[in-house]
Amino acid sequence: MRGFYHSLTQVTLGVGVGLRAPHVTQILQQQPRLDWFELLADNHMVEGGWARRQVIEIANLYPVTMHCVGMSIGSVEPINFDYLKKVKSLADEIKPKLISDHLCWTHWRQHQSHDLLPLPYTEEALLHVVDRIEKIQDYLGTRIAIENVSSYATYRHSNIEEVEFVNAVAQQADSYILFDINNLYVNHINNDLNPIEYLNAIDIDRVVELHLAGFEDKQTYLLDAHNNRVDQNVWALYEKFLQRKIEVPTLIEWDHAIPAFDILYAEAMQAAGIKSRVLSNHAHAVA
Amino acid sequence: MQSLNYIEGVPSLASVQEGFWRGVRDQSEYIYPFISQSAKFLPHQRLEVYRTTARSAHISTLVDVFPVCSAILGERYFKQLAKQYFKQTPSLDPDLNQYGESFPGFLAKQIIVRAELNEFSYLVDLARLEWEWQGAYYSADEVLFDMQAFQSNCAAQGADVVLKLQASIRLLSSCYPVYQIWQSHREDKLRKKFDPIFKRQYLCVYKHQLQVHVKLIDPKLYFLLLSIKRGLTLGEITELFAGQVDFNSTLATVVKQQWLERSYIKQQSCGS
Repeated sequence: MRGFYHSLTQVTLGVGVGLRAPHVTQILQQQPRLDWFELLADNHMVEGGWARRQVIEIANLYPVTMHCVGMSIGSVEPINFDYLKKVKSLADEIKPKLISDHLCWTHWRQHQSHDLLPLPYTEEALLHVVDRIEKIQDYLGTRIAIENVSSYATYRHSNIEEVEFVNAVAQQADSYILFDINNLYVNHINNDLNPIEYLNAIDIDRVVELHLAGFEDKQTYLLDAHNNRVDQNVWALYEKFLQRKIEVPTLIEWDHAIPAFDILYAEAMQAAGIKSRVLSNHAHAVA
Repeated sequence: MQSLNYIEGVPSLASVQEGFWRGVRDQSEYIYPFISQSAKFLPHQRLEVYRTTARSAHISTLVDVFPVCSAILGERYFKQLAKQYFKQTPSLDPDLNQYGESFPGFLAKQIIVRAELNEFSYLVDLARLEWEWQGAYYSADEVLFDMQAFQSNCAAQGADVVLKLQASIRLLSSCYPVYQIWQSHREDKLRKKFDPIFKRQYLCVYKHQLQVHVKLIDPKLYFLLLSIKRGLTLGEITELFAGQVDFNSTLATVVKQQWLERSYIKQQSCGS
């Protein structure tokens, strides 16, 4: 039987931000009022040095989650247990509230893409992904959360809707869903996906974390660049999701052209403000 | 790739991934008919997004790992080289920080074939230094050397004692003043032209209290560290350096620098 880390939702319902190296010293010194931090696990799965030490110090002060990019969950290549060993080693050290990765594939043969490549949504892919997630969860000894990815290509032979695929993966593998609302909006523009239908169809019982980030408008498509403030359309979708389920931790991601921490913090406070408003409206409606 | 394999009328996951991968890495167009399209966003444009993202990530990593080489060549030129390296050298590790190990060797070849690089022979050793700096940065943190255990081991079987260096220690030598080149860049006094030096220089890259240091060292110390790194016993090292090195004093330097992690007695294999 799997042992489980405490679910993030059991610890905090609040708002967190992605931990990035330029902010660490300020965070350690000022200890801002934030509910949690998410670390890009791959940046810290090293044997030693400041990159490893800093997350241990942060984990002593705040709840943390580990967000991975290298499990290559959908790949047809063998599972990389050397990689998982590093994930487990870091998890054992910092006791994250949640471990997550993406519903995609990242390597072919021995070659790494360092990018999140799209899966076809077919029965074969579903069975394959479920089997791999089960193996990964068994190895790590915990459920993981699977994130819907932004994409620039879909396959003509996909015969399952993306949201149905995400739900089925989580249900059949007994995993969680990390629902990235920015990715949903990016896919809406890039792949003509209906965001409202998606929002209404996602299995909310399995959604344990939300991601928000900024994209870059490339005219013919949106690039999920994480280099901007959250777009108004994404805030609107976020509010709409909260009307379905409010007890979900929310995270602001910012990975490129990283701004001063205060800007990231302001984005987090905006998310907290929307949560409060939805909660207040909900309370009035109930009263 | 000749064709996609089908399972019950649907292209198999394996062949789709191979086709997509070749589309991203090798510019293959084979996957295009299997990609959905809209009037304004065609399959080749969609694949190009992935190509650009992958290329940018790898090139940025090389700029980060080799900042002095990049500064000397100019970032624009360096990125051209990095792009060529990326085409030839896929990443094999999920950790992107491990990308670039063979870049110094790639530079060596470019210096031969590109006339404009003839004056930059020293870049190969400089790139090696930058790679080792990064390796030391991410290496396991230092461990306190147990001097008492070392003395006990020496008293018991001195000749069979093996020393282990701290995980961060990296050694390199060069006939160019790479230490000065690297240092001048750190002090923002970049120079671009350097001639070979008559006396080879020896360097030790190490980490102390999370900070990576580069130190010019005496050749005797360099060869002693190299012998330790190769796992020779104290007996073998003493024999190797007989009459050439004040062994005790050189070893004392290694201990004082906190470059030793531990000592142990080598187990003799049983002969038949």
